[in-house]
Amino acid sequence: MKRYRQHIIMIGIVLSGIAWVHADNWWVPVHPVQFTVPKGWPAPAYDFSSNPLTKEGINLGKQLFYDGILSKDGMVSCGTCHQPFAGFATYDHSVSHGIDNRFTTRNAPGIVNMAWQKNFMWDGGIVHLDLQPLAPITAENEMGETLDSVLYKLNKHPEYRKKFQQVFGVKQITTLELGKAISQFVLSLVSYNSKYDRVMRGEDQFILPEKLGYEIFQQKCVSCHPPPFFTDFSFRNAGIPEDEVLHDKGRMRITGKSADSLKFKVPSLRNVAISFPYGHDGRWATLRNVFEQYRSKQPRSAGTDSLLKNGILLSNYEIGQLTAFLYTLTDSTISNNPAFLPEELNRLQKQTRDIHQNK
Amino acid sequence: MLIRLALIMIVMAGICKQTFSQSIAGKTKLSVKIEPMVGEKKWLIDSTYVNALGEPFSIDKCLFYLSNFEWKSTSGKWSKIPNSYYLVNIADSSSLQIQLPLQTLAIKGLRFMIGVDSAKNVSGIQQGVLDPARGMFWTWNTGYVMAKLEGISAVSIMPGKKFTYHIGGFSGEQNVTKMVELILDINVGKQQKLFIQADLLKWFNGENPLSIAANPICHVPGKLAKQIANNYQFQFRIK
Repeated sequence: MKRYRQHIIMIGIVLSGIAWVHADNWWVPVHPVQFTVPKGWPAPAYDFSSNPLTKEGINLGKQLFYDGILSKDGMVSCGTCHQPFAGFATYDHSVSHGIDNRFTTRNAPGIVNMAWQKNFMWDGGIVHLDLQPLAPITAENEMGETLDSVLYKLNKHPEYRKKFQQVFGVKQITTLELGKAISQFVLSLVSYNSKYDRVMRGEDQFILPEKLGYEIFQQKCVSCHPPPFFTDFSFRNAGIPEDEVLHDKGRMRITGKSADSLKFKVPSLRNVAISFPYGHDGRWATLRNVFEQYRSKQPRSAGTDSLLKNGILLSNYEIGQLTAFLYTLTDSTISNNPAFLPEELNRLQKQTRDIHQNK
Repeated sequence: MLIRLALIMIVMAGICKQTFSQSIAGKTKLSVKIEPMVGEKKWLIDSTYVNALGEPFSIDKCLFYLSNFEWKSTSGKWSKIPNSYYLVNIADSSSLQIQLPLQTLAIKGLRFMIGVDSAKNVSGIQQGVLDPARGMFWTWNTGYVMAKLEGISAVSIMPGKKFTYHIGGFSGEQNVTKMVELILDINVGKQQKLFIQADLLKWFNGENPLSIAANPICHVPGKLAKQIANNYQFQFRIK
């Protein structure tokens, strides 16, 4: 009996040793996070089984998202152009700014509800969320880095090495874990708590202009901007003239088809009030400018979408009501949520007395 | 105690599964050696060659993916070699040596893809030779650069007289992946080695002769990329 017990213990020790070698993170627990699909929303496009969310994974993704380590000069992070207070779009800048005072050619869109999106960028050129960060990291007018160099810096960084090991069980960080970590944070950005959502859930009520605006929206905007995402994710030519400097052909650059010339992805209208300026190159400063473009009687180019060929008939009154409705799509649980803000900022804010709270 | 025991059992099962799956993947290995050639001459980085249009050129970089290998048994049946993805770099001798796991060395043919199949293009970030950090991946327009050829030619109008051909595109009309079938009438069974020549001159000479003067660069999927891929699909031959 005693020998039998000894054998068991010895086998146990050997196997634990093997387990130790095989799984580097087994003694540091990670906390699984369940991705919640808001009631009535479709199933997400992202395959969560390939990258199960954990509290530690989301935090690691957030740290990377706000860290200039991903850029060549250490100054540009994902958060530079995807700012929380603008619904994770660029606030008050037409096109994004990269390293060395360089401009990109497009306006950074808000990156909420990405779990439901099948392709990314204004032209849909990127077909998987995990691959998305690689584009801005390696673009010379954005973060200007190489993947080799980013991975070198991360693998040299004791804190990141520890965290990647904890979350993914790897000793060596590769592109795969980098992409998955950033995805974990981005996937957690689900915007479904705007006033509009609360009204739909019966928890709140529209005031009159919002209600009237909602009705006009249902008639004149909803075919391209259907809820709950306020985009149908299609690519359309809105009849916007091509910029003479940028010559951005949009979707055609990806498909090579002339029929896709000047088509861009229909942007989501969630958080639209805080994510100005508008358009793929940020050419419109205000919502008013956008409405003016759509109701303009100017002839539009041949490839213009059939729904916009003759513009949208909008009175000044309707524009007022529509604007009131669009303001209800602002989600403060996205724009002002400590869970989505950089940790350093959260620490600073704790130290600073909030004069509004009179504490 | 029970939980720990269960954990140990799971670990044991994991180890068993791993060893088992390795054993069925391939009983033996066929060593495939790829020799970069330009026409009948061996490729040398400092040599100048001439294409069918009479344009002189030298090649300083050439990489391509070979994947989805299949082998043909003596009875004529084709079998897939799972997870066979290789990145060949003519300047890196270790990558010119491919070890193919096989059931037997009595094979009558070999089939493989130049490039990376659509599934691996669309299912997120891959690892190993398919890691986007290997520099054979377009980040702005998802997809692998299936094959890449770079060099210098006096007729190129680009800075430094360079020409760069990055051939990619995996979906629909843009697809440039090519299946290559090599018939083996030699007995590889004995020597366990197969020598394949990759004739880089085929990039230029073929159905649509590639003019460096007219097209010194190709960096997007489309018509030109497809024409070049149609040419280079015939670059492999058994030595």
